[in-house]
Amino acid sequence: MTRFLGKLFPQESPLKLLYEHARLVEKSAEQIPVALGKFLRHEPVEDLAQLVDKLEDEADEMKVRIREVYSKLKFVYFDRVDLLLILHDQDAVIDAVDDFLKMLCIYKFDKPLPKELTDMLLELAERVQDAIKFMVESVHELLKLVESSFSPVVVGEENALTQKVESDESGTDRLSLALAKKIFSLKNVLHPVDIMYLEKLTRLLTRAADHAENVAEKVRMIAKS
Amino acid sequence: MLLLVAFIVGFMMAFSIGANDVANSMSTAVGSRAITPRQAVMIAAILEFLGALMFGSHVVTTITKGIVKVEFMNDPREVLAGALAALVGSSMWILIATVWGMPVSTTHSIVGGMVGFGIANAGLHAINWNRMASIVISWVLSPVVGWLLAYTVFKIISYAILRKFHPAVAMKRSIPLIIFTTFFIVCLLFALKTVKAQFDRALGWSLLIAAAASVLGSILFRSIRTSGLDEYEYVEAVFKRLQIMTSCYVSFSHGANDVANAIGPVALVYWIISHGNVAQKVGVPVWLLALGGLGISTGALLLGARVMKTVGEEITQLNNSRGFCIDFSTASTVLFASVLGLPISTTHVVVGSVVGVGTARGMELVNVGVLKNILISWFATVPVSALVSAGFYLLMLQFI
Repeated sequence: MTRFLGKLFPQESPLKLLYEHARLVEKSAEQIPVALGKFLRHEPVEDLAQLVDKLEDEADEMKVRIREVYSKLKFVYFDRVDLLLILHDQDAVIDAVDDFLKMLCIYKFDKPLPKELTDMLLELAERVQDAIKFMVESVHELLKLVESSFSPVVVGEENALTQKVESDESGTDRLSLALAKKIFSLKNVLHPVDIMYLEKLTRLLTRAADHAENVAEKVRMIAKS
Repeated sequence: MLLLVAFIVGFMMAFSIGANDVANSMSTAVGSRAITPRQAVMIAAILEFLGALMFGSHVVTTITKGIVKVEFMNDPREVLAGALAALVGSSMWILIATVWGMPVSTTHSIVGGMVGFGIANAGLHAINWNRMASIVISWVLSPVVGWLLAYTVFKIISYAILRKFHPAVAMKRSIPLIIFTTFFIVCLLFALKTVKAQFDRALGWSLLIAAAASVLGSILFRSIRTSGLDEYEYVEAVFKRLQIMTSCYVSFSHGANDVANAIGPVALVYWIISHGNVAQKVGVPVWLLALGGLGISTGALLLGARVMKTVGEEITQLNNSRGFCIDFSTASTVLFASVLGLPISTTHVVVGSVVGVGTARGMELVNVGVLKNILISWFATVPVSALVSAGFYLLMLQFI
């Protein structure tokens, strides 16, 4: 008989690919505080931007592979739309990180920024990186969830993790709001282009955190289903 | 001389089953890395032979006496031509279907071959349609049974082990029960259906052997190192070892059912030559089953490793707990069909079991087109191999 059993199974597990995709996002997020620090010290960040650009390309390739596998799948663990939405959010995170790094390459401040402002910026960058780390952990929990046949114990762990991500994200929101206020309060100190630029950087960082939170939220919805 | 020709053709068929079909039946164990292709070959070489020897007679009898009515098989010349035509016709169809990439079952082909010979020999009334109906029903039911069994086994494992607060502890407690159940099924069926022992005696011996195997197995499983493994990794490590046992079970069941595909027509020739007809109540000689078993084992040993390696590379996304469910359900279904004398396709039962675990939310499956192909091949096989066999039968009558 023809050896057709292998064709029943996916060559690559889409869930594992999704986790690998999340790891690429995490790797790119690790560059945020490093690049921001260098940028604020007026050091070049082009090499880091290139690295993230490369990671983003790899993530795009992986995204295509996941979509290809999923177009043929039946009897999946959960609605495939949910997984594709998670993928979409993960992709949005790495896009935001990539845009952030590119933004750092296109502009330079003429004079140093106030220390309070730079501290807030660096804190936001670290919080965003943490949110993305939790996102990856959450996707890893999804693998465990499947392996455990949707064990209530793992569902509980997933819930706790999502709550952590949510509280972290609301902290990020508060910080970004405070940062925006601070930026605009310096309207008589900073150049208008500096203000516009800083506001753009803040938005990109919060966008990355928002999408990371969406991933964790969707994983929780799957775990509860 | 005629008998020798039949033996050679039958042995070649058994060899081909060993080289190709064994790989399908053990693909999940190789794919989930429970055993290496080389280990699979060694297991197949021994267990296929034992399965054929211990349980093979039931299905062989169905193939030889169950399809074509015995009153139409009295002329040795016609029977020899028919048996060879069934073997050659089904082999030809399998070859053509393999070239086309169609998942055709050897079992379905040989049954079709026998039907073709019967009709070409004496018309439609030569076929035992009641028996044929039960065989066809078994072809539909066997994947369904595999499906239901796999679904149930996975749900039991899921609730009893995977979903527990401490899966590793639950796993340790379940090992003796799993080993006990497997050995109990095999021993009880063997005692009741092959040895034909009385129920009480069969039950007693089966319980005793299963209990001994369970104790021995539990001692062996203590050697699994737990350091550095999380609870789910430990569970999978245990299932990986348990899959060695279920691989033997699958191989054993496959040998029990599939030996008839090669030896059935040969047994027919043997009966005609040695007894003059097939109407008498004559058992299948053990040496004939051994010949079939040997053919399968030789095929697996000489060509099976390469085929199994390919299969193993195709299935890499299967973990051991799921692989265990598929193997256990497949082997139990096939062995049960064997003792009922029903020739079924092991591979189709594997597919049923895979879908069973999939519907129990246990795995991701791909390519529903494969299932459609199986269905199309299923409908095409019996008529086509019957036609080819009938053609060969009429042709061989000119030469024999």
